[in-house]
Amino acid sequence: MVIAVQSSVNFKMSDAKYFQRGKIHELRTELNSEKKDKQHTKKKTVLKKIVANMTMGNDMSALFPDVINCMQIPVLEIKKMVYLYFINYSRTKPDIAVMAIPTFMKDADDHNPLIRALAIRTMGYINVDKIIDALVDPLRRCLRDKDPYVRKTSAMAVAKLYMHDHELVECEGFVDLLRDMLADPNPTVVANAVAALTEISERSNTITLKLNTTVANKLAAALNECTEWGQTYILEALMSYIPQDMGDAEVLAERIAPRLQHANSSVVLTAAKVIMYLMNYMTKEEDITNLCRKLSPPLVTLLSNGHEVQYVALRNILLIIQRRPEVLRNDIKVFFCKYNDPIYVKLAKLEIMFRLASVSNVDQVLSELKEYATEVDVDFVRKSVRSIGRLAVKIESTADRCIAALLELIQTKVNYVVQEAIVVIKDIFRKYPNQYESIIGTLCENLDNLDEPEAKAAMIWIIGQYADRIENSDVLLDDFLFTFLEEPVEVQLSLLTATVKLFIKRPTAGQELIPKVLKWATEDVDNPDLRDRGYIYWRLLSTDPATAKTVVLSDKPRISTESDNMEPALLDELLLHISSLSSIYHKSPQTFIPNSKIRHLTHSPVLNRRYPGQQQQQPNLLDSDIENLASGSLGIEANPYNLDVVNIGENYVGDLLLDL
Amino acid sequence: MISQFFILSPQRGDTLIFRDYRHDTPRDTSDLFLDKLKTWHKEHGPDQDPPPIFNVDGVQILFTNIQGLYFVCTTKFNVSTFMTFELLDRIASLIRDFCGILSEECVRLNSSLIYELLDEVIDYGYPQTTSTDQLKSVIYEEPVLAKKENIIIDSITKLRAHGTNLGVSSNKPISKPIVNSHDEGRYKQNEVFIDIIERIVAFFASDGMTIHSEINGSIQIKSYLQDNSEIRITLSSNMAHGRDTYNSDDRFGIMFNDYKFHESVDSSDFEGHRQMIIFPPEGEITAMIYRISGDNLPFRIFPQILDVPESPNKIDIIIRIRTDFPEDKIATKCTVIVPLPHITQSVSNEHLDGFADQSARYDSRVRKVFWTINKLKGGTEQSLKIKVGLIFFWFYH
Repeated sequence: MVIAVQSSVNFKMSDAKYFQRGKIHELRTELNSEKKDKQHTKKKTVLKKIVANMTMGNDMSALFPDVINCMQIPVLEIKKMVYLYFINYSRTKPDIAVMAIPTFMKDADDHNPLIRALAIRTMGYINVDKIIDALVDPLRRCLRDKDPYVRKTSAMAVAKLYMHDHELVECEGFVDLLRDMLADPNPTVVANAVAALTEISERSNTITLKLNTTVANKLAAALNECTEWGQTYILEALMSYIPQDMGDAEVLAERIAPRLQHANSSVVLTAAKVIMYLMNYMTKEEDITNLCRKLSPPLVTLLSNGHEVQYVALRNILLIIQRRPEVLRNDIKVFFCKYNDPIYVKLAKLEIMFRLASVSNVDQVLSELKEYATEVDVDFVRKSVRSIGRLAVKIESTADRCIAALLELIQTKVNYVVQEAIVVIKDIFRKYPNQYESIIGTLCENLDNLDEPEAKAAMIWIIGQYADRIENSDVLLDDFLFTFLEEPVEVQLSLLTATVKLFIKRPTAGQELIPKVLKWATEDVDNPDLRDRGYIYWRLLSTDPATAKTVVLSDKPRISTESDNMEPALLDELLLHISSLSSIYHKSPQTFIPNSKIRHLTHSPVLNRRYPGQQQQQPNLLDSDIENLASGSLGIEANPYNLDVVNIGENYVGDLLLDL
Repeated sequence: MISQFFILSPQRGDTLIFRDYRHDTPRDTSDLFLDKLKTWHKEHGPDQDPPPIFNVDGVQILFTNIQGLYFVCTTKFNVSTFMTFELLDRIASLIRDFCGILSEECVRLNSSLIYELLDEVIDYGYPQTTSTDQLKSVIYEEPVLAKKENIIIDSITKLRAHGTNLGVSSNKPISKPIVNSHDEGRYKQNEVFIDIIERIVAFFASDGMTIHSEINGSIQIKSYLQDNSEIRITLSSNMAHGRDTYNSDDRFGIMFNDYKFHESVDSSDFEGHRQMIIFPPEGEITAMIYRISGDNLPFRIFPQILDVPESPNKIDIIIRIRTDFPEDKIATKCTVIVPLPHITQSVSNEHLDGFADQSARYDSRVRKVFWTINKLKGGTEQSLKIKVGLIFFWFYH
């Protein structure tokens, strides 16, 4: 019967309306039928039909008065369906909904706890002022009900009420009642009270959930008795506990640690979040190390789940190891990509492999990366090639092998592989000057196939930088200059700087090119960066060629992979949001959820101001900017390395998720 | 916390179940979801689902595909993603427990039962309980069996301990306390099913050396026991946990790297005697999951690549698989997947140790050879020769 109704969806709009009107009439007649229906089975069938129509989005609100009449029927299944109907249509028919109040009041006082709870739960869903007002008295009573099922339902109802009317809840003292419930003997009630309080504190400007040591420890003790979901709420609430004395954080972390062995991955990761948070308030390195050791096996186990869960786990692990690499330092092998991992899992794994790579495991990582670079998926191959280059920059002892691997890849002549390789080789040249220039010849064989701006810019940089070693550098540059005006600005900037370098190093070879380029840059191009840089070079060269030389050819600041790391402030914030959506997007919640409260590490006497991740401060941006300005390449060389390498990973997956 | 939950059938795009818990997201999110799904399938092929989390107009959508049905949540909160995915999974198993099976027809027939469940499982977007045992006492609707599947589900629906005369008993539902008393002792069989499922993940280097191998295992229990009986499971005593030091160098012992228990498992004696005491709730639970890493693989693979003399554009790949488990055991349905290089043009296979029970097929779309052996006996060796023709790059020379 239900299936027959289904076909209405496919009708044209006008047909559907007509059909519905007829249908509603039919349903009404059936519902009001006077026929003998001792066990109300017929009414039940009609209501089921109405619910099925509701699901499909057919408007059943016209039946409101008739459905209200069914409220009195003492059959629980019918009551539940009627209530479900109310939740759906009360908003549109507030006047009629009010007629249900007496029955609600009766139910809320019923001697069956199931029905009491049902009434309270349903009333909370109906955002009609009069019903909400009517809810206040029974709710206060039910919060102190003798049955825990009613109490836990009532706790949730307070949260519902709060969303509807902040003031009402505060005036009626419900928040205090909730607070009292934290001491309830029933752990499920405690968990729901905690969840309600957490939500209220998240939404309210005046109320903030703060737990003191006693309450925090009591809650932690209740964990054992709770359902898995209750454990998640309690753990989440423990994030609002701020340890004040030495040893507080340690004791609590010790209590929470057994949660890491729970079968529910949500409990595991929330526990990991609280432990990571508490580490900020620990004094002894030894305690932190012990806890880190406990974190690693459960985190690895999360990876044995389905792809969705794996992906979520990987994104969170990426955050955790940026602050505490020791957690998974010895487990790098579990992040090796499987051939059948979906691309988003593979890319997330690559990022983690790179970060965990160290002198002791770099051989394995490199041989894995070489395998990946010959796979079929273009994005994956690109990122693998790039990771090989980054590895060379990160770990000096492995640079030789990385270069050899890259050269091998260039020999494959696969276009995008070659281009990626050139981009990273540029960085290797910068990091290890005067070591690998012998491979320039090989690179120059591949000039014709470059069509990506980034690879082009990198190659041009190499030509400019080694203008005096590459015999025909002027010819090569001239070839590139042929399309100067059509190139993207990134390539234009690079061409400008390279031509200046050529001119300074080999004046005779560059003297024909330089006026041409300066003129284009300053007169024919609209981009202010390019124009300004053009003028700076022009004036430098025309006023004081000697100074120009020292400025343009000055030593470049060292590059490293340290700055690949996320900005410490953002990392701090994201670590407080482990397991949530923002830990997947790697974006602060404010950016995608309006009005969400900002979380930060609150000060306390035992807060560690410096954690491992922050000890190595990034180079002072201002200084390096000045140096780069001096080397005449601000904007290109100042930080493309850091930005583009990180962005490929972060944005690719981020975009995949966000911009669907 | 989650705002809406719905179940969609992908074929016709019907909403089978739709429950709005917070009314803060638009009613038509299910249409938005279907639109995304369709566009994605058009671009990436029907087998590829979009990433499990995405954002449309400020509404976060999380979903999972379970047996061809889409279980979807929407939210405007910074929810815990694990919680949401676990929840979707649990709802699916609850439907299985209460309705017998999970299928489109079954969901349609039982929509009011599922709504009843959803009202208890989630309140205001917060998961409350997903334990079949606890829910049984508050769910009144009877399951409707999808006709064709009657026989299969017969045993499963025994889970429902309700009496048949609900009509009578529900005339005075008030007399029912929270604790379960519907039990009429109608089903005499006390049955319990235990499955141990292990998945081995291993990485080999090109020379056949094991780089890393790991076993992900789980012990699953499906219980029809009625009287909350206690089950004791003891694992062979030479197992040790990674944290134990006393027998860590016992070369026959198996070390757990990690294990986790279901909340109904009393594991206090596990460290000492490898014993679990379980009070299985009715329905299906994963009592324990564990992870073991080690080198004891049940089989080894040796690949070998040979240049064919006189033909620079041909190579032969020989793959041998050797089983390292007792001869009386048989591994069924083994598949070896061999990825081939970009420049592969043609592929032909040749079984060297010809057993009829195997096949090899090349899929040019993914450039992989799938070698399937239906029965692989312990202590034996099988091999396959793949002749690969490469695109000949004459211009290199």
